[in-house]
Parts: sequence; structure tokens; C-alpha cells
Amino acid sequence: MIKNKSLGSRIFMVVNGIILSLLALSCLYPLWYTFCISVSSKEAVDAGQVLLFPIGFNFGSYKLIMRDSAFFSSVMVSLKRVVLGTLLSMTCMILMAYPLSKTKRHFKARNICMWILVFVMLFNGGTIPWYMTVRYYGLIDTIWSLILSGSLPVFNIFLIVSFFRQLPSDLEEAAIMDGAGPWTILWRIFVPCSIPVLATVCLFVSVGYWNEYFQGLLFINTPANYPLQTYIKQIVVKIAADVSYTTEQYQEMTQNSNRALDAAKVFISMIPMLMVYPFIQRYFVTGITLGAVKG
Amino acid sequence: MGTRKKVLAVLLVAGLLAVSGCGNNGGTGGGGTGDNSGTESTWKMATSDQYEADAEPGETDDRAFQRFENPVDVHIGMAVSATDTSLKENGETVEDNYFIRYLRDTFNINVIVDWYTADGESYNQKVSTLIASNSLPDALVTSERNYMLMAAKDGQLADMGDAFNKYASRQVLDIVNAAGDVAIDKASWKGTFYSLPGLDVAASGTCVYFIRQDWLDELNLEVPRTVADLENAAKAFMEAGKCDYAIEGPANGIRTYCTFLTSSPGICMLDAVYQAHNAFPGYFIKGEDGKVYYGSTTPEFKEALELLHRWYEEGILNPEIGVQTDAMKNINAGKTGIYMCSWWGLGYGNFSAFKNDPTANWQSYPLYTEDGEWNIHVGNLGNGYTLVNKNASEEVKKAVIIMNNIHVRDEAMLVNQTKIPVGYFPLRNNMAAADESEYTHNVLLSVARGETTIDDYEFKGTAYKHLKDDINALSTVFNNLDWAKDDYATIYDMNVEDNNFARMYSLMITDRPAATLKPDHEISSVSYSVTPAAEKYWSNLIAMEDAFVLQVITGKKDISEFDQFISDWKAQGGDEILKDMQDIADGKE
Amino acid sequence: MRREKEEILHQENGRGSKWDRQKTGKVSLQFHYWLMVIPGFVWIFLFSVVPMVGIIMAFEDFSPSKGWFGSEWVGLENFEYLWRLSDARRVLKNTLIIAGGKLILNLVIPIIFAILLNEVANLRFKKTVQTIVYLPHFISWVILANIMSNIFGYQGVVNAVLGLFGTEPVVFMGEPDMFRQLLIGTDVWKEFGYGAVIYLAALTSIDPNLYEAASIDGASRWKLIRYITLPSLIPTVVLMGTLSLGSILNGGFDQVFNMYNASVYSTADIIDTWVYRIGLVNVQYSLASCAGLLKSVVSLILISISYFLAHKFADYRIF
Repeated sequence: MIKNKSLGSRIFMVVNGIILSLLALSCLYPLWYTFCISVSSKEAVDAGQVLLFPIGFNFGSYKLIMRDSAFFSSVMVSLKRVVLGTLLSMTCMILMAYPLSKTKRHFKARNICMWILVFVMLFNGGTIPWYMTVRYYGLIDTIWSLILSGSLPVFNIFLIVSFFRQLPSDLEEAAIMDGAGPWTILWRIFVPCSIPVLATVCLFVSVGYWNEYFQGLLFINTPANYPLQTYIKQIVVKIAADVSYTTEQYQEMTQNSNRALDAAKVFISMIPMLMVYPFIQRYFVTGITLGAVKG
Repeated sequence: MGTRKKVLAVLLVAGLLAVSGCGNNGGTGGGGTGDNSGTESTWKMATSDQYEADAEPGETDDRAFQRFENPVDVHIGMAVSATDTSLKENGETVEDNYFIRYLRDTFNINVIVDWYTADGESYNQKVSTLIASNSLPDALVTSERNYMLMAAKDGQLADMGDAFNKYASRQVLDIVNAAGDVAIDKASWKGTFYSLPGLDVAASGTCVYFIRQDWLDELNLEVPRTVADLENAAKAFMEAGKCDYAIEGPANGIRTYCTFLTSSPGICMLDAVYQAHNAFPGYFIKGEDGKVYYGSTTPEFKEALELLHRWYEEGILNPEIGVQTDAMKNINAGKTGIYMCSWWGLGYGNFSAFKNDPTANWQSYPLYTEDGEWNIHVGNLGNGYTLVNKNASEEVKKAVIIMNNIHVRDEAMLVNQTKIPVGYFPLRNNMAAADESEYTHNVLLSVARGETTIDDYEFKGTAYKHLKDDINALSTVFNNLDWAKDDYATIYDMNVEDNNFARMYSLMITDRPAATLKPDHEISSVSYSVTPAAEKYWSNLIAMEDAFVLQVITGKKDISEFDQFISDWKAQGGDEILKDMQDIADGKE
Repeated sequence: MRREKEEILHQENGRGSKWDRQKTGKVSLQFHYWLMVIPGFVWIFLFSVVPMVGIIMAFEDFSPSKGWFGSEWVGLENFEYLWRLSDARRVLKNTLIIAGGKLILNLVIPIIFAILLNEVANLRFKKTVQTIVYLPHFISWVILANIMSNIFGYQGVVNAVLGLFGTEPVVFMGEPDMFRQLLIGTDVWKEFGYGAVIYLAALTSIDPNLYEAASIDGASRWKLIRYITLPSLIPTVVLMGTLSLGSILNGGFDQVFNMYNASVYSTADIIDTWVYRIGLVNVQYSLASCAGLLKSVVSLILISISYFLAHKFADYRIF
């Protein structure tokens, strides 16, 4: 971009390259570190020797996981949750975003709807009423409690709305001339033109579902129905500050910690996301920012 | 803006209407609320001599061990270990396992596990949510008295008094009565017996220290008696390169001493150090002048804190005290040589130290004051409350009490019949005779030395429910040890792979001081229950205290702020708790 | 701004009215629009609005068995009690510091990063770095907290590196004085890559000819950044700053909840974690509900302010 090749400039380029490389490495390190622990020997891990490279390299932890049905059932629950939840909420959000991207003149309730969304984003009844509501609907211990109870991610609706608002109005008007109704316009024009934002939001929503752990703790009664993050939250033994334990609980907690195994589970739980996001990230720049930057 | 407000208001009202059905539904059966305040119940606990001797295992016609004619469904929630793998290895599940089948086949009690979670925080969160939404299952066990009180006050719990008197076995009645009013008090609210209390052995409250005897021997050191001796040994360990730091401290979230509400010091709590300074933090103690004071506000406690801070500064104490997630980690890795706990702290408490390093010969000793006295505090009886839903039928209440009888009588037997841990016994709420571990230690010692034999003991209906199995385990766990000659057992004499290894290790090695030595002073708290003021202020006060203590030890606060701490403590409700405690102390006289 | 102009244009050309006349079949367009928003609003109503009835707990001495409508009404008593609690003030202070720190640094660091990245000539390197730094944004705090406690642990990598410079090992997770910085730092680390997206977009829209012309005039690299790059970012920065105002009371529950411990409560406890503890652990349901409500009200006010500020100064309507 800049043709100036002075010495200062070259030094800057080198230093800048180093800084950026270090930053990138710092973002990769946790992943690498978790992997190293998962393939190191238990003794080395317990002794805190594993820092940069695996020590006592072995795949024992992964072999153990292969036999762990609880882990796999939670992976399945999470996958099911992500697929169903993402489909459902994407559909609802796209449908909502279209009328909301109109001005108040075209969709009269638009501003009221928007403020309701803001209100809903900020206020909540708290954990207990939330639990009671979900129980009242009879969703406790079902996959639906994990999909529906979080409600719609309002912020993402805003993203889609602002993207829709940026689409050239000529497109829509031409369609109207051809006699297309709002449903046709939405599916045939808006959706295909909005791939960047839809792909981005789709990623956010599915990662949101994948990473969520609290609803599992709250709404699920049988650990076989736990999603993966809830399962991990439970095995990564943390002794709580305000809990009194019995003699036996102490014993169990202290006997069974196996950090290499935990790390292997943590590592596996990150894989699906690692496989998907690099392909979608190229949409980020257009998807997230179009609406925001060009006011 | 006006319209907007209106819309929100309309929405809210619509929400209220939609949910009013839900709210009511959540409140079914809550019609009769816990409005029994004012009227003190006149209920008295039965004594065991009112009843015939308990039935032997196998007999099911006894009052306390009867088989139900028709199956009784008991819906429960339970906590399980998140890391235990033995269930799966043995093809069992939480909902259907050896214990549940035993109850179903022998007693016609059909236990249905409505839900279960990992123990600790997740479990507590679940119980709290269920109380808040008034939807407790038929029965569950909680370790938090807070929850028992909340549910009792709110009228969600069944009065268990009459059913307990009618169906509790003699063994159970003996154990609870021996613990005295304290046990009944803690299980009750306003005179109504709302829960079955869990009772721990007394030795659990007695903190001793554990040390690597093999290191002491190697360095030609005497067994430390006082805090100063311990410090010297610790320094010697470090100088000899045995360890980076010598004394382990508690993990994240564990305080450094147990309070009047906690039964047993957790792994690596430092109670022994405080007590060797004549400090009894967390306890409400009646002074010689008859005035009640709080143990965490005394100059002795301050002194102990100063010492711990110095140890921290000098690197004797683990620099990660209160932060590390697992206090056992470094002990097991052989990186430290001293820690503190009560009788279960070795063996039960720390299993793998020996597996990693078969030369690690840990022994336990009391820590004396400079004047050569061994002072201990008398621990709380334990934290366990079996709660039964108010809406449970009489049959269910009866079944819960009978399950408890069965657990107390048959636990030792069942443990030998299955490979899954006894923690999976539904509604398990440990009840042990207060002196069980000392008594057992001494019986085992005399059997081992050939002074008595197994035939000298009566097992039928005894409160020492494990005794028979313990005597039998003696020969399988210890090999080639001449008990008459050696003064104590070591790991070298034991078969570490045996099922009973952990218990035997705890009983014979860790429990030795508590079982064989008599403390010079045993300090009791004026009360072991939450007073009305404590109910209000305690959780905030103890949080403040925890933070202060840890910060002083780790040098983030200077000890000179101790006076400030005392006045804060008093101002934020401590004085009111003290007043309650004073009333209790005066009432007793 | 452009939007509004377009609207005016619409009206002038009479296209707006034509639009209004457009019907699909015989049903009005409004009806179809309503049909589209309804599924989403039903969902939101069932799972967000209905539980809000529980807000009345804040004004009651809540008793579960009496329910939301049968519990004793105590008016503002819970709020008064909350006001008197020294804990509440401490928690508010922590929240403001932690959220404020995150807010500022999450604004500044991504800008610097975006500018640095923008200076890179090698396109492949640029893309790779960009892809990698998004990564932490997608990892949950449940997992990151576990990793952080290892990395910042006593035997962790950070202490190992510090050890090389002769520094005594530090117990990061247990230092009240350092814990807030740790929270802010790890959060910024997690989000800076993702946060830079918006600035990178703004940078790509700068006319390259500007740089060209300036460098021919002999402007140094620093001067280019100072006089071309930075000024062109200012609208975006102002906008992002205003928008994030609404989150000043959000300390980040997931992060703190998974990372903190008793020894750092004094500095790490934020409104959300405190509400969780007094509600579910200490069973003071009403007090928890009360604190949660206050937080929401303040957030709503702040969001409204930032809505109007953004509209006024950046000519931007958030929604």
C-alpha cells in the first residue's frame, strides 16, 4: 500500500509483524496448552510441568473418553440443541427483522416493537420466576427447555434489521412492480442478499447455544440430558465458597481429579466451533458492520 | 413516550394474567402455611427403651424395619459425585442400583429419583430453586441449614416428630438421644422436628496435624509438639530440599478454620494452629466472667494470624493458600510434608499419596500450646438434614424414616456386597454415634493385640454399626504387623489395594491422637445453632471474616487492621448475635 | 441521516403512497407484517415477558408457598435494606470499575490493533492473524476460566515467564488488588479481535488515494496514521462508545462467576454474581430480585440516553 521503504518504515514493519504474531499466538496458546495437557501424563500435569509442550506424550485421556457414554450423550444433546435451536431462532429472527426494517410509515407498530425488544433485552424476572415459568410449560428435563427458555437473542435481531435497512430500496420496488408480496420479497430478495449478516448471526446463535451451560444446570434433572458445557462445568471440579461439604464429598473430590482427562474433554468441546468459524468469519466485516458504520 | 408506557403496562398486565395460573399452580398444597409460630410444640423425642430390640438384617416384621404391604413410591432428589466412575463400571445407574433394588425387594420401598446433580454448588442451586418455587420432591437431603429453615418457615416441610418417635429404630434413637438436645434443636424450627439430623462422629471436630514421619526420621528430628517445634521441622524439611514449602493450606473457598456451624475441618484447614494459640475462631465462647465473646475477636486469634502471616512470608505455608483449586495436589505429588485435618484426613481424605509414593509414611499428632496443653474445640455435630415435603403421605414419611433406619443398620453390610460407593444409598444422611471412631480404634487395637476377640462383642442393635466389619477388616488390611511390639501402624504394614484400606488407615493411624489421648481443654460453643440474629447477619459476617483472615495471612491487609475488623464485625450485626448467644448462655445456668 | 433523506424523497415522489396501496391479494400489508413478527414475539412473550411477573418479588417479603400474589407486600422496604447494606455499595463500585475498564479498553485496544493490522502489506499474513484473533471470542468462559486458572496459576506459564526476570511468583487469582485487572485484561484479550472487525471495516473504506497523495508529499508513516487513519475512525469510535454506555452495569456474569473465589470477593464481586449468591445461596429471594430490578432500570435509562446521544451526535439510530 505504501511505497515508502525507508529504514524506519522497514523497522516498523518488522516490529509490527512481531507484535501481531505475538498477539495471534496468545490467542492460539490456550488451545495449544489445553491440547498439551490432554496428551501429557497425569504426573507431569499434577506437578505443573506442562507449559509449552506435552510431557509424557500419550493419548490415554482420549481413549478414556471413547468409553465415556455420558460425555457422548452430552455431545449429542448439544448438537441437537444447536441444530434445532438455530433453525428455529433464525426463522423467527428473519421473519421479525423484515417488518422491523421498514420505517414507521410502512409498518405502524415498528417503533413500539423495537422498544419492547430493548425492554426485554434489559429486564428479566430473575432465575426463580424463569424456572417456574418453564416448569409451568412442562418443559423441565426436555431438550426444549434448552432451546426455548433463553428466548430470542434480541441483539441479533437488531443486526439483521440494520442490514436489511441498508439494502437498496430499488430491489424491493422492482419486485413490487412485478407483483411480489412481502413473503416473496423476504425469501427471494432479502434473504439471498443478506448472506453475510445471516451467516454471521447464524454463527453467533449456534455458538451461543453451544456455549450455554446455566440452563442445563437449572432445567435438566437427569445428567444424561445435560448439554456439553453443563457437563464440563460439573466435572471441572471447583469447590464452592459457600457450600459445606460432608467428609465423604471431600474425599471424592480430592481423589478423582484428573486434569488431563478434563483437558481432553475441554479440547474436544472446542472442535466443532473451530471447524465452523474460520469459514464464516470472512462475512464478519460486511455482516456486522454495514449497518453500523454507514449511518 | 406516553404510548410506549401504555403498551408496556398492557404487556405487563397481560403477563400477570397469563402467569397467575402458573403462580397458583406452583403454590398447590401451600394452603396451610407454616403459621405455627408462637405455639411452641411440646413434642419430646422417644427413647430406645420404649421399644423392643431392633430386628436383624433379613427380618422385616419389626416396627422399624417392616416391609410395606403395598409398594410405596418415594420421589427424591439427590447429589452424586461428578467424577465417580464406579457406577458405570459396575453397570449400575443412579436410578436403579444395588441399594435401590435392596429397598424395593426387601422392604417394598420404591425409590424414584426425580432428579440428580453433581454435589456441591449445582445441587444447592437446585434445592434452592425448588424451595423458591415450592416444588420439593417427597424427600431430599441437604447440608445447608439455611435451606431447611427457609423451607420450614415457609410451611413446605412435614412435621416428622410423631413418625420419627413411632418408627425410628432403637439404634437411631440411641444415636440421636446420645447427641442430646443439640441434635434435636438443629433439626427443628420453633420446636417442630422438621428434619432428620445428620450426626458426625465427635472426632471429626478435632483437628490434628499430619507429618511425613519418614522425613522426620531421615533428618533425625523429634516429633514436633508445639507450634515452634512444627515451624522448626518445617524449616528443616525445606532446608533439606524435601519440599518447596512445608505446610499445606486450604483450597479456594475453604476457610482456614471451622465455625460453630461446620462439623469438621476440611482438608488442610489450620484449626490446630489456632487452637495451639488458645484461639477458637468462629466459636461463641462463654468467658470466665460469664460473658460470651466471639473467638475470632480475641488477641490470641490475632497472634495466630500474625504467625500464619509470617509463615506465609517465609514461604513455609503454601503461597497459593485459598486460591488453589485442589489442596491435595501437592501433597500427593510429595511436594509438601505437613497438613492438618481431623481423623479422616489421611486415608479417607487422601487416598493417592501412598499410591504415588509408597515411602510416604504419614503420621498424625496433636499440636500443643507453649504450656504443653492440648486444647481442642468441640465440633458441630454435622451438617445433614433430611427434608420431607409437607404433602407427602404418612406412608412416605414412614418410608423415609425406615430408610434411615436401614441405612444406619445395614450400611456396613451393604458396602461389602456391592462395589458402588455407599453415597448412592438414597437419602443417605450419615448418623454415627459420637464416639464411634475412638471406640472402634480402641476395640480394634485390643483385638489386634490379642487382648480380646470378636466374640467378646455384642453387635445386635449396637450404635457402633460398623464394628463387626471393622474387626473383620483388620486381618485383611494389615499384614505382618506385630501390634504388641510396634507402638503404631504405618503404611508399610498395610495392603493398600484392600477395599477397607481407607477406613482402616483413618481409624488406626489418623485417629490415633483423638482416640488415645485426652485433650486438656475441650472448648464448646455456647450454641451450635443459628440464632435469630445469626440468621439475619451471619452469612454476610462470615463472608467478611473469611476475606479478612485470608487477606491478613497473605499480607494483603495488615494485622493492624484487626481492631477495625472487630468493630466492623460488631457493627454489622455481630453484637446482636452475641446478645442472642448471651441469652442462651444465661438461660442454661 | 441518509435514511431520513430517502424517506423525504419517497414522499416527494409519491412513491410512499403507491407503496401503501400495494396489497397482497385482499389482505393489507400491515397484516402480513404482523404475521411475520408474531412467532418471534410469542416466543419472547412466553419466555421473557411472562417470567417478569416475578419482578413483584422485589416489593414483597416473598414466601414461595404463598406465591407471587399471596406474599406480604412490603413496598420499598427491600430497597431500603439494600441501600443500607455495605455489600451493595461495594458491589456497585466493583461493577462500575470492572465494566468501565472493560468498556474503555474494549474501545481502545481494538482500534490500535486494527490500525496495526491495517499497516500490514502481506495479505495472507493479515488474513491469518485476523482469523486467529477471532478465536477467543467463541470460547465459553466455563472453558476459558479453567484455562486461565492454569495459565495464571502459581505454576502457570505467566509465573514461569516472570521467573525468568527474577520476579517472585504471584498468585494472580488470589490477589484482590490484581483481580480486577485480571478480569479486565482477560476480557479484553478475549474480545479485541472480534471488536476490531468494525474498525477494520471503517479502515477499508478510506480512499487509498489519500495515502498515496500524502506519501508523495513526503508524509511519514506516523503522520499518515495521525492525520488520515485516526480522523476517519472518529465517527465509528464515537458511535461505539455511545452504544456501549448501556453496558456500564454489566460486569460479565459468566466470566466473574467462573473465575472468582472468596479471597477476591472484595474486589471481584459484581452485581450479577452477588444477586446470584444472595438469591440462590442465601435464599434472600426478594433482595436478589430487588437488586436485579434496580440494575435493569439503570441500564434502561443508560440505553435510552445513548440512543438519543447517538441520534444527536452521530446521526445514527441504533434501531
